[in-house]
Amino acid sequence: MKNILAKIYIHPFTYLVILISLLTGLFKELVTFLYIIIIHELGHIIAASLFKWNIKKVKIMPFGGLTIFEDLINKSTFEEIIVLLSGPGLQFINYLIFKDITPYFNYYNYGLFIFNMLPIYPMDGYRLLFIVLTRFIPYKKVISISLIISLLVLLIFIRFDLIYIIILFLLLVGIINEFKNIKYIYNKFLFERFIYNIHFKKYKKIKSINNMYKDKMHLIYDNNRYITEKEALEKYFHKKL
Amino acid sequence: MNLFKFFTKLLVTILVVLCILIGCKKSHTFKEVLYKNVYDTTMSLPYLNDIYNKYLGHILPFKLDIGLTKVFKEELKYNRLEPYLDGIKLDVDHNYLVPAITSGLVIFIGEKESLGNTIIILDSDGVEAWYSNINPKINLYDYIDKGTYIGDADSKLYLTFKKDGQILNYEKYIS
Repeated sequence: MKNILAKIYIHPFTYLVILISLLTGLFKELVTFLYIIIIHELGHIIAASLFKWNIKKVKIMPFGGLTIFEDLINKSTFEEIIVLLSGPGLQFINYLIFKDITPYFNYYNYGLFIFNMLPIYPMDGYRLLFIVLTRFIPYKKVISISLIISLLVLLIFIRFDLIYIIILFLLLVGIINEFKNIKYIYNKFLFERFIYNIHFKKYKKIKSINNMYKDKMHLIYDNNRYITEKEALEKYFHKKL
Repeated sequence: MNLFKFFTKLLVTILVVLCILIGCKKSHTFKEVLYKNVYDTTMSLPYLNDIYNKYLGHILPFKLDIGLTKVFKEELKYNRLEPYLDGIKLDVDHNYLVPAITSGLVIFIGEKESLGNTIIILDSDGVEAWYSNINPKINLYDYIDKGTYIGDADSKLYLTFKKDGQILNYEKYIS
């Protein structure tokens, strides 16, 4: 919590939006908009610091805030859901307290809340979808499936307002980068399981090391027999090293 | 290194200021042009807002209007009209709810001499509409649509229309 101010990063496009709002006299709407974003992120930050998660950056984008964590992928799903929901939760509490203070306070609250709950890559809705999907689908497939869903949902943003074009562009760049990173994310997922002793209750038999689930231990088919996850990972990483 | 950068910036600033001062001293026309274009020009916020909305759409994203604001689209009604100071005096009903005559940005709320409590709304053409002797129900720097409820007047309402400090004829705005 102590160095959180140094971790705040304001995106250049956010500065552009601030500049345009000041030039056109939307002072109060701008302050309301930024205030709601900051309250939302504060919810995530408070919950994350309760669980001692490592916060890498807090980004203020023109479409809302993003809190980026630099931590394990194999965290408990319970913690993930709490951190995820605390942002919209705090925003909702704030909305109940200051409801109807000005009409646009309500409008921006609805707008930001609904947008944030859409399953588009860096938003909270995406992460919620991700957590739900990881229960039924192997981890590596979940990433690409949810990114494809993101791209489809993004189509509703094709409008000719400058601000929506900027948002579309930023989200598209983010999704493409995430597509490129799938290989590395999955490698990190495996490596965490290799170097830390991570245990889960459920076991599952799978065909290949690429089909691992989150929150489950595995028995992996290898040369006509099943070997434990630990052995399979050792084999995988020693072959690589 | 930072100190070096700072001093460079400082020296460049001093240089620019001195150049302008020397220019003013040497040439009278330069001085006049400078005064006219820099000091006497005000930037009209509603004008820029109008232009931006016309060509580039919304400024801030996700303003979701779910129809919860009270609709108050009224025309101004009055009993008698007579000139008063720079503008006009209207006789209205007791506790009359005043609608905005022009849409624009609220740039002033407060006391004006011999007019009382005043709201000034600046529209995108640069016209200031002054509503005086009014009990304001809106806030400073709100954007107001035409016909929005802006305040209560108690039997008397003064209106003044100005542009760039010059008084305009009220007949264009009041029927």
